[in-house]
Amino acid sequence: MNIIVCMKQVYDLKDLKLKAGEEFTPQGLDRRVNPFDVFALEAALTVKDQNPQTKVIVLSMGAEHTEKCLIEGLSMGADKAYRLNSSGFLDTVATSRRLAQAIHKIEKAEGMADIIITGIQSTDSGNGIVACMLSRILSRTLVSSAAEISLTGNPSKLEIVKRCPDGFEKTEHDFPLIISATKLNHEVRYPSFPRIRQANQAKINIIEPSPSKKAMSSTELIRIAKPGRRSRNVIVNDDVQAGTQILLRMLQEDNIFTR
Amino acid sequence: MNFELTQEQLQLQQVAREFAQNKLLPGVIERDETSVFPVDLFKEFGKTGAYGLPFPEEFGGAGGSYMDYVLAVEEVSKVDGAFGISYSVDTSLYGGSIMNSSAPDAIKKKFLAPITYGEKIGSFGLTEHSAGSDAAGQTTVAVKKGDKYVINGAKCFNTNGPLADFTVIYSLTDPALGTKGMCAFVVEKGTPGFTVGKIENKMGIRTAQVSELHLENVEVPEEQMIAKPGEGFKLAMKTLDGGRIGVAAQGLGIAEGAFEIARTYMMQREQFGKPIAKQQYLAFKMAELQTKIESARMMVYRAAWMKDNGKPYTVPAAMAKMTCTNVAMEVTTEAVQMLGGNGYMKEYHVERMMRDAKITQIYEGTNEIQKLVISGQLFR
Repeated sequence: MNIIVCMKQVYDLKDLKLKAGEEFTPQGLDRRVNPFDVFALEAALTVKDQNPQTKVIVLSMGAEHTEKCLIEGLSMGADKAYRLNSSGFLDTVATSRRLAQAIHKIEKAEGMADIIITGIQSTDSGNGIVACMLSRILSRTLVSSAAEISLTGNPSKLEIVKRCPDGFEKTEHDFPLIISATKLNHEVRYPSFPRIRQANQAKINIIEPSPSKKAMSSTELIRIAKPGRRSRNVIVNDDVQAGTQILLRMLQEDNIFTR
Repeated sequence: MNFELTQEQLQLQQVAREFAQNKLLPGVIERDETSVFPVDLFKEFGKTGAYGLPFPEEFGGAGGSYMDYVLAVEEVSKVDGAFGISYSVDTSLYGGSIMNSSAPDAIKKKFLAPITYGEKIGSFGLTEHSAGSDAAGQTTVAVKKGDKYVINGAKCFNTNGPLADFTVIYSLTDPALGTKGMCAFVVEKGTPGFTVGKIENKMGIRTAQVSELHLENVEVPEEQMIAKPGEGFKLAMKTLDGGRIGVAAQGLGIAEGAFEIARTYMMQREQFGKPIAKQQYLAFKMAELQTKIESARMMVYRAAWMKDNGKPYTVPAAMAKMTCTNVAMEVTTEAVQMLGGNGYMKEYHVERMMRDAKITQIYEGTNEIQKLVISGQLFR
């Protein structure tokens, strides 16, 4: 079985302090692996625990510094690493199209992927679109919000426990599949120190993009800034029933709730 | 000259840090009160290969360096100093005794490989009630009988003693010969006549299990003799040189842990209308402490580097041990002071760190013995 795990390197935003209206610059911020992608990799590795024949391949898109994220993936237990070379801003559509091209190239070299798994969203841009886009572009079934995945007695089925707003949903699916992983129901493993060393010496395969017109950004990044402070503060003094209606309408007017 | 950690080292430091924060920190106060050693956590951390970091892979180690090991001990000790010493004794004193010995490779592998991934735990038996700083004054005796040795005597203050599957026991073949007859054996848990005595009730490092070990007609096969008569004292001293780097790393970690708690507290705690970090007297004190921590770090990292690079490290190790543990005592004491009344209360951690720091100035050679080691080389 082959599993491709898409891992993104994100900016570590925990020490980011922006004033209202202030523009974001990445200067001085550390980079780390998107935590949701670590869940994705951990989920893939639980399948490998069940079936040691499984080949887990990690894929990242970015410049050379992105390889740190692949090395972490290899340290945790991935077998192979690919970096799709890229620099500068790409919107989510372009990112997804390029990733899909890279997946085709990897599949040519390594065989078809039974599972492609990504984190449900990144912690920096937070769009949560890549898994859905991959599903559309590659015409494969998407299962989102996986908190647990495991092989069943049936070799052609995968059992997935989805995290839902009010609980969990357990379903079975045929391969091939695209999965987005959220916080898992089990812990993420610690890499072993010998694996860390091997990972730092491992070969990272480089894929050069062959961007078609479709795989170019159709949007332009102008600026990222913290939203300005709201100018009006409203205190609703009505009773619970009426007050809730007023608050709801205000939130709808501001496009925070759509229905 | 390069002061930067490698990518690998940064990664392993991160793994140890996450383990300490996610696993050791919750429950560290309760464990200190109940003196219960977290065996499960010790074994879990072992799965990373941490306890075998400085040992070659052919002996079942993780194939890293002493510097790697120092980074790992430092990280766990920032949160739990007792875990730090159990780790350090397992690796540098038990594992070090095996690796430094002249035992055949097969024996080294047999007794080292099981501890490197935490499946088994090791301990080190040198100190006796009448032989502390004067390790040569011991009375445990091993007498040859056929292809076995029969050991009689008692050891004390054995860290990991009650938990250990394997203990290195240093003993004399003939008390009249003194250290000239000192040898060392690996004694397995459960060997008839080998029992755990009093388990100590301590001021600090309360979860570390420290006990007496009694040996009454304990028969050990000759192949488990890892230092032949006359080699034992040298093996113990060489092993303690490495152990001191481990204790130095533990002291550094304790100091850093307490410093960070104080620093964070001082930015939040307001008195006289402003955070106490704005009081220049206190801020300057913290500047001094941070400088001392940095100098301690340089010394222990350098001692580990010297060991890794095959240079003589006895004096650097003694200097690092003395400096780091004195800094640990000073920083933890000041951290309690910075937190005022809160610092004296258990939930703020620093009082525990202060109690843990005290022992680091005492074990693996008191800091007075470190001065003996340093001055001994100075006026040869």
